[in-house]
Amino acid sequence: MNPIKNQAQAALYPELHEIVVEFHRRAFGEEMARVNFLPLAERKAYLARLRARAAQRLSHPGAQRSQFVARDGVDSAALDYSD
Amino acid sequence: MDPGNSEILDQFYAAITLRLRDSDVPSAITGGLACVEFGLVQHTEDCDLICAANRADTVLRVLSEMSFANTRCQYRKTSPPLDARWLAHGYTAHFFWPGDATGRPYLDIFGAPPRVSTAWEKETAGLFAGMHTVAEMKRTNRRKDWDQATALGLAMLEKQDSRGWLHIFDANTLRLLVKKLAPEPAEILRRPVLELAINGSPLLDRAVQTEVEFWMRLNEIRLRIYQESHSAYGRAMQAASKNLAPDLYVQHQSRVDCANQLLPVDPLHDYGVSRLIAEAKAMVAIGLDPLVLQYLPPVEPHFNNLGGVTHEPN
Repeated sequence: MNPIKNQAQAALYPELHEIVVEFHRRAFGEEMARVNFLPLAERKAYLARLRARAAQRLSHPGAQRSQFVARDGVDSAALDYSD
Repeated sequence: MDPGNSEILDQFYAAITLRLRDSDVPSAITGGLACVEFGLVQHTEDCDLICAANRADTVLRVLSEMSFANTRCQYRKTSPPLDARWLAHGYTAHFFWPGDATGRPYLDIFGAPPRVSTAWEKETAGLFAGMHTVAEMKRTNRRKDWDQATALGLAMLEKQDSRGWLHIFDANTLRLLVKKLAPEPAEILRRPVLELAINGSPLLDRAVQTEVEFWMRLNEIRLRIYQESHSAYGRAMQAASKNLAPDLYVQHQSRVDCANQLLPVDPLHDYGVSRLIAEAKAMVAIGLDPLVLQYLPPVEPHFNNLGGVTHEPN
C-alpha cells in the first residue's frame, strides 16, 4: 500500500466521495448506489432478499439455476462445461 | 431461500475459510462475496476462494470434513482435480454441497487466481482477499465487472491506497479525479493511460476503451487455451462421473487418474505467455491508431503467479 505522503493531497480525500457516489449512480443505478453505501449489515440483508427472490423464482417448474444465479465474473474455463 | 438462510450460507463459507486458516492454509474469499463486504452489492450465492496451491491436499481434507445440511462436499461435473500441480497453473476446482431448502453451497477454488500480480496472501482483509486482488480479478469478459473494478479502485483511493488508480476504467471519472489527486509515478508506469488523464488528452476515452478491450482479448485467448487443454479430460470425466460414488475422495482419485493422462499441467506456458500477449495486442490493433497502442499497460506481471510463486512487479 502506498500511503499518501502529501498532506495537501490527503486533505482533498473528502471531496473524492462526491465523485465516487456519482460513479455508483451512473454505473449501477440509483437503487444499487443507495444500497452500496449502506452499512455492511444492511447490505447483507439486501443480498438476503435478492437470494430469497431468486429462490422463489427457481422453485417454478422448468426454472434453471443459471438463469437466476449468474456466475460471478471470476472466469474459469471449466465452468463452461460444469453447468 | 428464506432470507434468514442467507446468513447460514455465508457463515458456512466463512467457516470453511476459518478452518483452512486454522489448518495453516493461506486462503481468502474473493469475487462477489468480497465485493459485498467492500460496498458493492450484487446477487451472488457462490463462493470464490483463493487457497495456497501447495496445500491442496489439506484443502481437500477440510472440504471432506465440512457438511452442509447433513450433505457432503462433491466435485462439480468435469472439474479439474484439487491438486497442486493443476491448481498452481491456473486451473480452478469446483465443488458443491447438495444441501436442502436452506441453500446449496457452490465453491470454486483458485490456486493461481487470474490476473493477480501481487502476493494476495499478504494483504487480506479479514476473511477476504484485499481490494487490489479482488479488483484485478474483476477484469473479466463481462462488461459489468469493469464497473465493479472501477468502484473498487475508487474505494481504494478513498482509503488512500494509490493503487486504486490502476482499477479505474471510466474516462470521465479519471478526468474528475486528476483535478483532485495525482497518481504516484509507480502507478503511471504500470498504467500509461493515467498520463493522458493528467494531460487532459482527447485520446483518453479511446485509450481506456482499448485498455479494456486488450484485457478482454487476453482473457478470451487464455480461456480458449484452458478450454482446449481441458476438452479431452472433460469428455472422459463426463463419461466416468456418471458411475462415481458421491464420495469426495473417490471422485478426487478418479479425476487425478484422468488428469494424469489427459490434462496438461501448464497450458499457458506451453502456449507461451508472450505469444498470448502478442496475439491479444494484434487483435486490438486492427483498425486502431497505433498511437493509442502505446498506452496499453504492461501485462506480464499479471501472469507471474503461475507455478505457485508470485513475483511482485518492480
